[in-house]
Amino acid sequence: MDQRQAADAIKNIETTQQRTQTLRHYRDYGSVIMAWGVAWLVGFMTQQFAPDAAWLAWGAAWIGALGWTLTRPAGKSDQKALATWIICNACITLLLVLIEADFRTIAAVFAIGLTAAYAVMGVWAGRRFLALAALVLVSLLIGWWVVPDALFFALALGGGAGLVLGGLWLRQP
Amino acid sequence: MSASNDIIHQQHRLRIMAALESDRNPLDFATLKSVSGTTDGNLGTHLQKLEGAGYIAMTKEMVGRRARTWISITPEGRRAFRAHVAFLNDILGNKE
Repeated sequence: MDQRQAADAIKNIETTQQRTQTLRHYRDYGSVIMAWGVAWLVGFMTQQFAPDAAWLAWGAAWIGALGWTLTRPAGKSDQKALATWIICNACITLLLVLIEADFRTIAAVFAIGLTAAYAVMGVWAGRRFLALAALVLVSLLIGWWVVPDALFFALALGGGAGLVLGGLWLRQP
Repeated sequence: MSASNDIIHQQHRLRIMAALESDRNPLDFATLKSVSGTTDGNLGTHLQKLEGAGYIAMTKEMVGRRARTWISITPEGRRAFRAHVAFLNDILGNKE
């Protein structure tokens, strides 16, 4: 075996291991993303069609999704990332309470936050996350400008049902 | 100088071993098919060869009515893979 063949083999190994790691990220995060998709679907659907019950629905959805995340391999192994995510969400929530933001603004801010989180994961963990970021952003933009009366419904479909399907897609090798 | 491992050296088997060595958990057949770039039939043949050498272990799990195959690297397989990588690095003059 000459040096060129050895270099090709080493390159082959590195590429394969990188690809395997990316697929592992997809596999680990797939069910977590599906859980948050369900939370968004339940929360925004309730907000659109039964706004009086929205706080209850959101509370139950968040507790369920957070509990699922904490018991998954991705949540267990990546405690610092999860803690960062929770701190960011708590700060954003506090800010929105302080400025007495309405539900539309709250929804838009969290959708943008989720878009940013998936975009960052797209850069670090795998490009499929970029598609999820685009999905959430597009559903927000359509809901905000095209069908403002159905903003929450658009977010339920794009950020909720879309993420459930996106999570399933991530789990495919 | 380390010696080349003829079983691992083949391109697809090298990818299979690289993938298994890099992941702390067993990998399923579909994931290995994706990372190794082989067909179902070829992958099965390569896996049998690696299993025959004692480098990997395969277990089957029933998911509903379908069998799912999980593949993991054995300690012997890990040693053989690392020795082969050392051999490649020796050729390139790299120090690990």
